This record gives sequence, structure tokens and C-alpha cells, in this order.
Amino acid sequence: MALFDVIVDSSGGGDVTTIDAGLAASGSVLVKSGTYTEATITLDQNNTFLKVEPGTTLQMDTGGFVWSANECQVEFGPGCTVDNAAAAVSLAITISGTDNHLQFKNNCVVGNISVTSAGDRFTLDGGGWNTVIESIDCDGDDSIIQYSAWDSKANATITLEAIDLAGNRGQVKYNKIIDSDSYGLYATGGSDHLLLGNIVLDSDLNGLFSNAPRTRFIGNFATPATNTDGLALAGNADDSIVVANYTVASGIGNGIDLVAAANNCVVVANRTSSISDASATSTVQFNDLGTASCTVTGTAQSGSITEADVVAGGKTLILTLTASSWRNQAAGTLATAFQALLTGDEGGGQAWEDHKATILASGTVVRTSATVMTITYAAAGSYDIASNDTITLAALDETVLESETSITANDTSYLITFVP
Amino acid sequence: MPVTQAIYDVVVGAAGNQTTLTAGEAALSASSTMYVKAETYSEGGTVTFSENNVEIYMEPGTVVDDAITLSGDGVYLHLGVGCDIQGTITVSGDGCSLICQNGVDLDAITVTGAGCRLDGGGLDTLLSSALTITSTDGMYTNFKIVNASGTAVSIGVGGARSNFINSSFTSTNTRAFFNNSGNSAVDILLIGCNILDATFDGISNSAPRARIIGNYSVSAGRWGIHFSGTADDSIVYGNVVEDATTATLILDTGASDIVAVGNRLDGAVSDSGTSNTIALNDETAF
Repeated sequence: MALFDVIVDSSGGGDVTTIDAGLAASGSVLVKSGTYTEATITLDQNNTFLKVEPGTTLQMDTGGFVWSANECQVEFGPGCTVDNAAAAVSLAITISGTDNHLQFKNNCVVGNISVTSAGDRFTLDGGGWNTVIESIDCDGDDSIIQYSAWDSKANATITLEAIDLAGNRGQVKYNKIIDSDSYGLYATGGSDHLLLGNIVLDSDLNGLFSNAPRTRFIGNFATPATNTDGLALAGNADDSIVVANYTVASGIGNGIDLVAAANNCVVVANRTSSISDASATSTVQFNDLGTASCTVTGTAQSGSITEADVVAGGKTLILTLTASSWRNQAAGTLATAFQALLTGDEGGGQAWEDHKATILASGTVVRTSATVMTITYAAAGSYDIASNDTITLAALDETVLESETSITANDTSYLITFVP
Repeated sequence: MPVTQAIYDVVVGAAGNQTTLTAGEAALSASSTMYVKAETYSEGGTVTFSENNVEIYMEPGTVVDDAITLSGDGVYLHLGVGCDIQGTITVSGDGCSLICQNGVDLDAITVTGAGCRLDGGGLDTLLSSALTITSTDGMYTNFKIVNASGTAVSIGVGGARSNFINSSFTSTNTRAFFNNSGNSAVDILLIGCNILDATFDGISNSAPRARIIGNYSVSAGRWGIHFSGTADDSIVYGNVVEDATTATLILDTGASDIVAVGNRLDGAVSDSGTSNTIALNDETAF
């Protein structure tokens, strides 16, 4: 009596010496530890159980591991390596069958994986965060991807998100994305995904992203690279829920970003660096953005400017927020808001007040990012003062901020000096 | 030949090719497998599995009187239902796994290797002493601790990104879940766990950016959930805290930008920190 129908041993001690030969019939197949260099490995027999012993290397050099069978389980012991060396074909494993389970027992190194739209109800378990997989492009419905670490590499032939979901009802749980050359966790299509307890340490684009309706982001952590969003909901991500996540962006990016068409989302109880909500229909409440502040720089701030500078235009005030975000508004609305916030006092004269509609005309105030506002004075040819004009920046409020909590800038007074 | 010897490189047991775990371990090489028959093993000292990437299966009902150390990287130890490991299990290799079927009895576990996984298989897998963690990226799921002589889960310096999922922790002596790393063990996740009958604190966390979500803490002798002054930027969401003697949820001086929203609490939040977001908690006494 044998426990396995077929034993594969590259050293010749088994029934066959190649995995591809061992998978010719359905049943249970044991692959003894060793190195297997095969052009293509084909799994097309339903109800196959393939167990690969620890420390085994599968090095395909043409077609990769092509898995079209249904209701199979493939287990890799600890320390296995699965890769595809072919320069033109980068997929290590391609799965098109249904109801399959791919199990790693931790400490494995795996190349790119693709699950086609036919591959419904697929489960991938990395066995722990010492299994590092390059990427997965998962198009089937009802997939589960869990307990794995990811490190996507730039490559010309496949998508590069660490985890890419396009089917429906995908569940991505307790994964660690070490680095991604694109998005970290990318729900690009389908609907009703659950993204739970994942951690994204670095990604070149958004750490967490959904363009799928009814996505649930719960308890995730994302610190992507500079100038990207921590978590972004695109236009098709209506009715999504974002709760109890920690997401921080730096530079031009938001901790959480809802675009204009991402309607009726719930964004509650997150710790994030900033929130940009252009949806106008979402519930965004009780999130902690940290201790808010505003730092002012620019040529109109750094030293006193003269009447001639205002006449010529071009001087700047650059307002940079920490732990808050600028409201995303039309140019005319922004200009009007800052006309109210920046007031002049010419020692009895009214030059600034008389001219600020020109100096701060529509288009002069630009929301450079969620945290940076750039004001560039327009030329005001008739601006004429008889004494110094002191410009004061009032406390920033909800007319320009996403938050209802007002912020007083670190510098609120800017001098325009009278030159006889 | 028994079928196991056709499959496994080493079989340990009276009828195996090695009769002791120590001898079996000595016969293992890297990337090999061991099968342990259901007997009682008294080795007279710690059994250390030092080879990398080995799989070890212990049959249901196996008893080991001694401590076990997994020092190789990628050591995978599978314990069948009813196994009983009476000494401390020390996991010092990286990428190791301790995978149990439900109903395993364990003593203490110490984890110093990175990226390791403990899966108890269910809440009938019981540790009778502490789970102590000082390494990163561990995954700890589906097990129960009842420790009568100390902290149930203790996270020390180096335990960043540890994850605790669907488990149950009790200390009849002190704290049930204690991240005592200062600001070292950052970014931990505690989700879906039961914290039962701690004589001191249910959950106590000292490190930034912890996510405490959907847990149940009942009958803590002092504080239900506690954040020290270095636990900035943590999130406490969707938890139930019942019968905490001194305070249900307490944020110490210096704790800032913590989000405590949507919890069912047995009394008011005690917030001595700064700029924390505390909202939508039900604080009515149970």
C-alpha cells in the first residue's frame, strides 16, 4: 500500500523523474526534495493532490506551471522556490481551473502568479510572512489570498501590482506588502471585496486602492512612497467602507482620497495624514489627522515686498498643512475664500482691500495638493499706497479646509512697504 | 515496510528507524522530513531542530516531556490532535511554523525568529504558560492561553508587526495581553480575540500604531484597554469591554492622536492624552 499514487524523484528513486510526468494522471503525487528544471509543468487532471517536499526548487523555463484542473490542492513545503526563468514569460504559475488551493508552508520564494477569470474560488495561503511572492493578478470570483508577503518587481510583460483583484468578492487578509513597483493592493475591478488586516510598507503608487463597489477596507496599514495616496477610492468604488485603517502619505498625496464619483462611502475611525473627499455624498467622520498646523513660505512671506512688487505681480505665499488637508474647490471659490482670509491695513488706507479681488483673482490660488496651497499675486497696476500695508492671514477654517477645526498659520503677517 | 518509511526520510518511534526524537533530529538533513509515531518521549533535555526547511509531523496523542527548540530557518512542526508538549517551545529560526490540530496541550512558547507562524487550529489548543515574542512579522492565530503565573501574551522589544487573530487570552495572575516594548513593537494587530478574566489589565499597549479591532475584554481586574504615553496613533475600534474594575479604556498622559471610535464600553473613557479622537462609544454601564 502506498500513501501516494506517484512519487517524483529527480534523482531516480521514484516512479518518474519529472513533475510534469508525475501529473499525467489524477490522484496524489509526492515530489521528493530536489531541483526540477522543466520547460512546462501541466496540471490538467481534476482532483489532484500534489505535495512538494521542503527545499525543492521548481525552475520552469518556458511555460511555467500551467494549472487548468479543478478541485486540486498543491502544497509546497518550507523553503521551496517556484520561478520561471524564461525572459519573455515571467509567470511562474497560471491557474485557470476552479476550486483550487495553493498552500505554501512558509519560507518559500515564488514568482508571479496569475489566476484567470475562469479560476473562481481559488485560495492562496503563504503560510506566514517569510513566504515572499512577487505578485498575483487574480481575476476569478470568491478568491482568498492570505498570510503571505509580497515584493513586486518591475517587469515588462505583466501587471506589477503586488496584489491585483478583478473578480468579485475577493478576500485579501493578513498580507504584508514589503514593496511594490506599482500599487500595493489594487482592487481594480469586480465588487464586494474584503481587504482586512493587511500591511503595506512601501509601494510606488497607492498603497491601497479600489475601483470596485462595496469594497471593505478594515484594519489595514499603509505607508506608500512619497507623492502617492495611502488609500484611494476611485470613481466606481461607491458604497465602500473604510474603517480603522492607518494610512499615511507624504508629499503630494492623501492619507485617504475619495474622487468625485466615489459616492456614499463610509470613512470613519481611521488614523490618517489627510483626507480628500471630492464625492460630496460620503460619510467622513471621526478620523484622526494628527495635530494640525500650517507653515507659510514664499516670496511674499520671506521678507517685505514693495508696492512695485504688487503692481508687477508674481510674489507667492505657499501654505503647507500638516495633519490636515485643503478642501478641493473650484478656482473661483478658492480665490474668494482667500480674499476673505487675507486682509490689508494700510494705516488708514484701503489699497489692499480695494485691489485684492484683482491680486487674488480666480486662478491665482491653486490647490497644489491636499496639503499645499500656492497663492501667486496677480499684477495690480493701480495699486498705490502712501504708507506700509500690512497683510494679515486669518485663521484657516472650513471654507478652505476639509476639517471643521480651524488652524492658525505659523506666520500670519506680511508687509508691503511704502516706497516714496 | 511501514508506509510512513516510504514517504518520510526519518520515522521516530519504537517501530521506526530512530527511537528517540534526539536521534531522529540527528538523522535529519536540510530539506528533509520526519514522522513521529504516537508515543511518549522523554529525552532528558531540549530537542533542537537545527536544520533548515524540515517538516516534522507528530501523530495525534504524541507526548514530549521536554522542551523543543526550532533553530533552523523554515522548520515546520505539525502537531496532531491531542499532542502534549510539556516543555517550552522556543522558535529562534526565521520563517518557522508551528501548526496544530485543535486540542493540543502546550506549555510556554518563546518566539525570537522573524516571520514565524503559530496556528492552534482552534480554541481547544491550550498554552498553560506565556507566549513571549521579541521578533517581527509573526502571525498568531486560533489558540488559547490560560496562564496562572504571569502575562498570557507578552511582546517585548523587537516585536513589530506581530498579528494576533481569533484567539483567547487569560491571565489569572497579571495582564492578559501586554505589549511592553516601549515604542519598539510598533504596528501590531489584535483582532477578533477574547480577553477573559485578567486579574490586572485586559489589553495594555505601549507602542505606536497598534490596531485593536473587534475584541472582547471582560472582567479585567484593573483596566480593560490601556494605552501608555508612547502608544501614539493607535486605533481602537469595534471592541466590547465589560466589567473592568478601574477603567474601561484609559489613555495615559502623552498618548496622542489615538482613534477610539465605535466601542461598547462599561463606563467613560479616561483620556489624559492630547488630540485623541474619541467618539461614538457607548459608555453605559452593563
